[in-house]
Order: sequence, then structure tokens, then C-alpha cells
Amino acid sequence: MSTPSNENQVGATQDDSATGLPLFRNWRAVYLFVTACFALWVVLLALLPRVFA
Amino acid sequence: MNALDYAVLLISLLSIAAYGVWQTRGKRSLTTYLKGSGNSSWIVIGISVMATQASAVTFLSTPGQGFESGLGFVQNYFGAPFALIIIAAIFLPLFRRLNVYTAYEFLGKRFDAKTRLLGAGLFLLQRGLGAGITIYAPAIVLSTVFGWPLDFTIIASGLVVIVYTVAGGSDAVSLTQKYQIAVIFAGMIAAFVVLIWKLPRDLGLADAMTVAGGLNRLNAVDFSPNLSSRYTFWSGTIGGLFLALSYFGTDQSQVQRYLSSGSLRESRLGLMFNAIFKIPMQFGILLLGTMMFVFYQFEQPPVYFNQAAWTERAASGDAGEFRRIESEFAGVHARKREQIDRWIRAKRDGDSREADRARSLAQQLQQQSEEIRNQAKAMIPQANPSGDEAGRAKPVSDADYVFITFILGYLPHGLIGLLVAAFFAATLSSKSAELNALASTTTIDVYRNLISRRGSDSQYVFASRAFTVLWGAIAISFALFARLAENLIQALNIIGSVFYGPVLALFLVAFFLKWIGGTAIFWAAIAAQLLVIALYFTLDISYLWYNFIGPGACILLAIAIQSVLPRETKPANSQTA
Repeated sequence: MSTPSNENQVGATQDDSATGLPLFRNWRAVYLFVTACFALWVVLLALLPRVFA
Repeated sequence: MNALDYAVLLISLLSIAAYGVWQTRGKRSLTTYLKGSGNSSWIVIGISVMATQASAVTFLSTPGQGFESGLGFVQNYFGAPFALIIIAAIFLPLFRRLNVYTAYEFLGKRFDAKTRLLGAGLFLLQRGLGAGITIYAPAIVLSTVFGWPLDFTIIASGLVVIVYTVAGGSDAVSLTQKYQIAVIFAGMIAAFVVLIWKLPRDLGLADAMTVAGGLNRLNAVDFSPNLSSRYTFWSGTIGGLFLALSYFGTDQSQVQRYLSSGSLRESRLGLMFNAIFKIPMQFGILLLGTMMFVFYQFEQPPVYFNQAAWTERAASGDAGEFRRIESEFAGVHARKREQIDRWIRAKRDGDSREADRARSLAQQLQQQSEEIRNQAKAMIPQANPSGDEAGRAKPVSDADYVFITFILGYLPHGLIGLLVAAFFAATLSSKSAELNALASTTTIDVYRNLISRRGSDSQYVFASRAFTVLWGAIAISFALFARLAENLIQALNIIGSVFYGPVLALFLVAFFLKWIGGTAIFWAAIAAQLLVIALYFTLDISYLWYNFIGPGACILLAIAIQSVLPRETKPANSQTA
């Protein structure tokens, strides 16, 4: 049987592991999204001088 | 500046500062003063992290970089998203679990007191030096706008920051930062819109980008493996990763921001907000500089943007030579404009051969123009090689004057006041966070740890306020010598790159190499710091690589030293990661 203190800790852990974002259930998905954004920025920046050469 | 500009400047800044002080009145406990009340949402955390990093230097100096060398500087931030992911996933949960005031308390719990002091000492040293430069940037604005002596402006603006920070505390810093960043973005967006509007009527945005691209101002990503190139994809991603990891993960001015939230989730989302928007934000500021470059292809720019220094030198030196340079520069500019007009016309007419010919001539004239500007830059120290009355060299970084010259010359009244307010807001937001962090580290890691272990809350809050004043005074002193540095934003990053590496290594070893003890990492960090300083003065490589060399050398040395030392046993009451 868990003590109130333990229950609070479990609650806090569950609260922290949920992202609270509609499309991202866990933090790994958020980190992947950030990495994809980075790749997109780099591709767009690399293309910029070619588009306006 | 007229009355409208002064009204915009004073109302926007004073109302934000007053709001911060009013909202945090009566909160006088040490926890609230240093960590805030713990109810900041992720957007407040995200903006606070962004505002702390983006000082007036960012908004004053970066457009000048875009003007001088294009978009390449954006690569400096390529490592930031990965660093922020690592911090959110690994650093943050440990800092929160140990409920520390400062990042260096964690080092004390993981290693020992001397390693904690070393981490805190390196932070205080490099952040204290950097703090001077962030005061210097708005001082340039003020001295140009009001014609005040630069030294007086540095001292006056530094005092304003000190008063604001002492009154505020951590909660006031976070609260005011979100309004300050609104003023900053409003100013930058307004400047961008006016700049585009001021371009020739028949020049579309696509034409403007074509001119920028044709004159090599849009080369944002350089994949070459050249180690001596200052900004490449590799130095930005690898070196930038370590720089950002050090800055966001171990610099108390940032750690204090994201620890002010009540939950891990809010802190993580605040960091991810920055991971996504840091690169586009820097790109936007650099693009502003690049568009200014295009604007000055159609308007005659001064050969030297710091006109006060130019006029002063022309009066004291060979005036004829100064006039010759100005006249030669104007001639080249007029011929270049003709070629650019020809190039754009030919491009619209679909005559690619004519367009190529005109572009090639414009590129040659641009090169000549840059050579004349370099001659002009060289004229400034030549005119007075012994420096000013105090024997100091005068500023040589003309890029820092490009944006403010445009603002004063082409923005309407009201917007000039808004832009000056934006520079001030950026100074207040980053400087208050820095001074708050310097004071927290001195109070918690030095004063409470070594001098007064059993003091009351009010005693520590008083000490924290006193240390804020002390660090503010030190920052002002360094600012008085910041004019020796090259482009301000680079000077700030160079200082960080030289000192951050060993500090980052302390944390990486603490997290990942648990068999290494305090003595081994302590001596390894000192040796690595000396090595990085020695290499900085002897090697010709991009400074970003020191963010990789520093921690690499420190970790290898720590492993070597630990292998010949007996394993350390931690006291029973110590907590480890």
C-alpha cells in the first residue's frame, strides 16, 4: 500500500511524463518533432542562395 | 529624437519596470527572490529563456553582421536545438530532483565543495566579463542618439539596470521579460516593414533577395570542413552544440530561468519553445541586416557608419585623405547602382546573358566598395594610433553602427523611440537575469556556503541585493574596456567559448561518468581551462571549436587522473545523480 507521499510522487511523475500537447503523447515525440524542425530550417537555409542566385 | 520618441521610450520602459516591481511587492523570502514563486507557465519560461539570451547586443550587432557578411552567422545556433533536447531530457530532471538554487550546488552534492566553488568561480568570471559587453551595446545607441560621452552613457545605463534588478528579484525578471520581448519584437518588425517599404518602388521583395543572393549575402550554410572558417555547418552544429549545452545547461542565468517553474513539464516545454524558434529568430534578425545591405545599394551609405568617429578623425588627421576616400566610395557606389539596375532590368526582360554580365560587374564593384570600406576602417586607428586621452584604442567595429545609423536616418519619429526602447528592454531583460544569477551564485555558493551558514532569510536576501550592486559595478568597469573588442556579439561568444568548456565537462562527468570523483575532475578542469586559454592565443581556428576541445580535454584528463587515484567514497548524507 502506498503512502500519501509516494502517491504524490507517482502523480508528479505521471504529470511530468505527459506532455499535455494534443499530437505528442510522450517527450520522445516532442524531441523528434524539434529535430525535424531543425532539419527543415537547414534545408530551407541551404536552398535560399540557390533560389535567389 | 523628438518628444514623441521620448514619450514612447519612457512610457514603454517605465510602465513595464513599475509593473514588475508592483506585482512582486512584499515577496521577500530567499526562495521567492532567487527562484521565483514557482507558478510560471511554459510560455513565460520560454520567453524568459529567450529574453535572457537575446540582449541588446543581439538586436544591435546582429543586423550589422547580416549587413557585413550575410546570413552565415545563423550557423552559430545550429547546435542549440540538440543541446536543449539533452538539457530537457537529462539535466532538468536532476536539477529539479535535488531542488537546488544554483547549478553549482548540484556539483557540490555530486562531487565536493572545491569542485562546486570551481564551477561557480568559472561562471562568475566569464559571466562577469560578458556582463560588461551587454552594458556596452546600448551605451553605443545612447551615445550616438544623444551625443553623450560613451563612458558616461555606460555608467548611466549600468546604474539603471542595477536599480531595476535590486528592486526586482527573480519573479520580477520573469514577469517583465514577456512585456520587454513584446516591445523588442514590435520594434524589430516595425524596422523590417519600414526597410522593405523604403526600397525602390519598382524593386519587389524577390528582386531584393536576388540582389542579396547575387552579392553573396544569402549564403547561410557552409558545409566545407575548413577548421579556420569561423561559421560552418560543422563548427555550428558540433561546437554550437557544446556552446549551447554549456550556456543553457550550466550557466546560472539560464538555469535560474527554467527552474522558476513549478513543474518539469512547463520547464521542458519552455526549452522546446526555444529549440524550435531560436534558429528562425536569428535568421530573421540577420535577414534584416541583409535587407539593409540591399537598401544601401540604392541609397548612398556612409563609407564609415560611425560618423562621429569618422568626423572626429577627419578633423584631427589628414582631412584631404578622408575626403578622397569618401569621394572614391561614392563613385564606386554610383557605378554599382547602375549595374544593379541593369541587372534587374535584364532579368525581368529574360536576357540572362546581359543579366549575368551586369551581375558580374556589380560583384566586382562590390568588392572594390568593400576594399574602400576596409581602407576607411584602417584610417580610424591610423588617425590616432595612440588611442584617446587614456591611451585606449577607439572602437574599430563599424558593423555595430550600421543598424542604429539606419534607424536614425530613415525611421519615422515614434518608431525611433520604439527601437531605442527595444534596445533598452533587451538590456534590462538580459542584464537583470544575469545580475540576478551572479548575485544568486555569490550568495548561495560563496556567502552561504563558506561565510555565513546559519543566516536568516532576510540576511541572505540583503546579501543577494548587495552582490547585485557589486556585480553591476564590475560589469560597468568591464564595459568601459569593451571597446577594445571586435564585433560585440562575437566578443560575447568568444568569451563564452573560452570559459564554458571545462564547466560543461564538470556537469557531463557528473551525469555520465559516475566513477570519477571530485579531486580528479577538479584538477582536470583547471588543466583544461589553462589549455584552452593557451590554444586560443596560439591556434588559428574558429572559436566555436573550443566548446568541443575544452570539455573533451577535461573529460580525458579526468579519466587519466582518476585511473591513478583511489576511488572516493561520498559522505553518507551526500546526494548523487
